[in-house]
Amino acid sequence: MNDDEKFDTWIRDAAGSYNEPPAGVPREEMWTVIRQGTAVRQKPATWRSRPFMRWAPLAAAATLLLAVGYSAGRMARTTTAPDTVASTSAPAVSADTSNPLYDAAVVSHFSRAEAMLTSFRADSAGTDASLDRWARDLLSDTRLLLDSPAASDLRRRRLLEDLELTLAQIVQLPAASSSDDQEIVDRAIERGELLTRLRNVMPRVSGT
Amino acid sequence: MSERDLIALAASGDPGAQRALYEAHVDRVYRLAYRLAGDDDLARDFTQDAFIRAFQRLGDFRGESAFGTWLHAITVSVSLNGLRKVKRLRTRETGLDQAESLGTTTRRADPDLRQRLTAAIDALPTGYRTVFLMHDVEGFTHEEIGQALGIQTGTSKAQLFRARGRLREALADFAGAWSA
Repeated sequence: MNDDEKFDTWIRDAAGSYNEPPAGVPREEMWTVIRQGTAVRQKPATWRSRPFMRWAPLAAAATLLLAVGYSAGRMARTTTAPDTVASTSAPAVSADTSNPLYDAAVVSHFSRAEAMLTSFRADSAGTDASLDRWARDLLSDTRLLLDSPAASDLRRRRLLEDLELTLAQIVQLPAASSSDDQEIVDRAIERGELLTRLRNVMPRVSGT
Repeated sequence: MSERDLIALAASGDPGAQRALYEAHVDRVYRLAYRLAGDDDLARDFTQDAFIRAFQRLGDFRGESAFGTWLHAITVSVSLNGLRKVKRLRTRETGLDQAESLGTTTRRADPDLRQRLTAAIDALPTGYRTVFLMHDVEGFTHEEIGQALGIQTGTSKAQLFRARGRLREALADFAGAWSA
């Protein structure tokens, strides 16, 4: 074996540590995003004239979940009112966030937001009607959450505010938006590390 | 059920078939995206983008190559475009002076072999680096690489030869490590 062949063998072994992937692939987390992104972006012929129908079931389920969470959060706030008054001087994280129904609503919302933003970034041909409608739906839910006890958690509030800003930018994109328009939104997503933060607030599901 | 049947079902929007295709290919797609990106968040983004695009375009898949090869072509395209976009955004935000070093870190002063190797691979032109990672690190054949990158098999071999040559030059002072 000459030196070049020895090098080739050595480099194959040594380069294995270059950008080495983790042992576990986050299958379920990625699948959730892919499934949601695919479900909304699919264009069966019979639905082409009614894009609303594509996302309506998903939106209805999410809105129902949000409504339940919102109500549960309000109930929890009412029952803990004396404690809340007593601690108004401390801007601490709210106890409301421990409500499991409320948490489920928030996690569902963030999961849909991640899927939507991923689809937006994957779409190089401009936002179509279904994506625009999806963004509007998420924007209204985000505002609902910002007005709810969920926003009393400082970390969640900041994330919701950044998400609201980004969604508002997407909604305002013209139908035939240019790549420059999309890049401005991409930049906002990148700068705010929005996708990373959305993933970080969601419970981790084991990979393989 | 054969993969061809799964593809036909998945193209019609069947979530079970899409999931089956995903399960069969996600490990290699994610590994490839991770090798190219070197970052978990980017690798996830690229993997997700690749599958979403693949499922959207399944109707265009004619079966002229293996489904995996077609999917890897989408993955490489999504990853390289994504990396260009990330680099462009970071370039604007870090300023031109610092931008010169983005993606081409040299770290010549660092004596550690692993870091030198990492720097040398980072410094390869994108085409060389992609072929090197796919062939020598992830075990793709030249035929698979050619189909995934849309280049001739001979071009893939030539790019690998040049990539190894550049690495050999960059790591010349570590000659003893492999000739021993």
